[in-house]
Amino acid sequence: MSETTIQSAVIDRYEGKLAVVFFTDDPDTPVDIERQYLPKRKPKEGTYLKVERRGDEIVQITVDQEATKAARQRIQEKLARLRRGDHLNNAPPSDSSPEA
Amino acid sequence: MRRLNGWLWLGLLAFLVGALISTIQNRIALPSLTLPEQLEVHFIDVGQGDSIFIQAPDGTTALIDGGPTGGNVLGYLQGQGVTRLDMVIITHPHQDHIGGLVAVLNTLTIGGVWTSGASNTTNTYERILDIIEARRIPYYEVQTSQVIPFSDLNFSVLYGAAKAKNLNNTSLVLRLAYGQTSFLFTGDAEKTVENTLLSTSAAILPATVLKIGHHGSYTSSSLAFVKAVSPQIAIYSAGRGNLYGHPHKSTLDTFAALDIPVYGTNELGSIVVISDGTMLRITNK
Repeated sequence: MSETTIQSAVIDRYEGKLAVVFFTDDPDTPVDIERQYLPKRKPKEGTYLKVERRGDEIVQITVDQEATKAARQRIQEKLARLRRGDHLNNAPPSDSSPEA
Repeated sequence: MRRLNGWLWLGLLAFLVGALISTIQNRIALPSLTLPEQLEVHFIDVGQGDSIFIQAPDGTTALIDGGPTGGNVLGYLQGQGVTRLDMVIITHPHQDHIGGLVAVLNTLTIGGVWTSGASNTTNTYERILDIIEARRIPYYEVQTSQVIPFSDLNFSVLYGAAKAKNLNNTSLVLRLAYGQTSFLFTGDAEKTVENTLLSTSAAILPATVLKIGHHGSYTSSSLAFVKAVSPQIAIYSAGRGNLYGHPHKSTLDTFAALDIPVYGTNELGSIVVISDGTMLRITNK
């Protein structure tokens, strides 16, 4: 009997009835998953998932709220720095304390 | 007198030969001065994705999207001798449009990155932000009715949104005109955006070349929109045997009904459109 594993993945986009997801441990390879395997309430693009698999078979997919929230927050902070142009001004990162 | 006449004749002959040589030289030299300056637009075969390389007549370069990871857009650009991109434009942050930018932004000299401000949470998108920051690449966000400076031609931003229910509909829609020719680049904008454009920008939609939205999906290219653009040719980018069925038959039927020739990268490979400002020349690689 195959071992059950839980992997992290993120929804990049939808193409018709397929969700195009990327697994965290292989972020350059798109994997197409039929919508029927996703939670009934269609998760938005950018949502992180916990994908439970037994061998190649998908057992269950649930939304990973924590990972989604963490990624959104991290990326918004990075975007805010770029929008301010911190990286061009050679300023210290906004989330670090100025040196004494 | 005879001798003088002889010298006169000789002088006249020398003058005529000199004038003839000068005329020939001018005739040889003149064409290189009057050769038409060309705008090149490369619809790169990146498999299932979008990437368009543009070179202005003065050599200024732009890349709209970078295709997926593994689409080898960097290899194509290096094959063209490109070492610097004056601008990289991201129409929207889906992986099939940005995956190839990781290698491009890491390798080439980049003048700046332009986006609509829309974001995603994928690892690929985050890596792109990290590279922009680490390599100190200027980052700009543009919205509808703004202009992205490009040589002395400029991209008109006909549409762009930082947020939408579906990231396809944050796509920057750009128009580039060169002489009497023009190009409309639509990213993955769907019919919702097309309808907005029809009501806000109908007068500036007509274009000689239309990049068909969303790889030829049924989600884009409404009959009314294609009629309004009324292109001489239309080009889509899609992967051979892709799982999504792009381009969809209904889209191809729309263009066929309007007698607009359609070219696709899945059939022709990379498609290069060269404009001298009046005429278009189309080749494939």
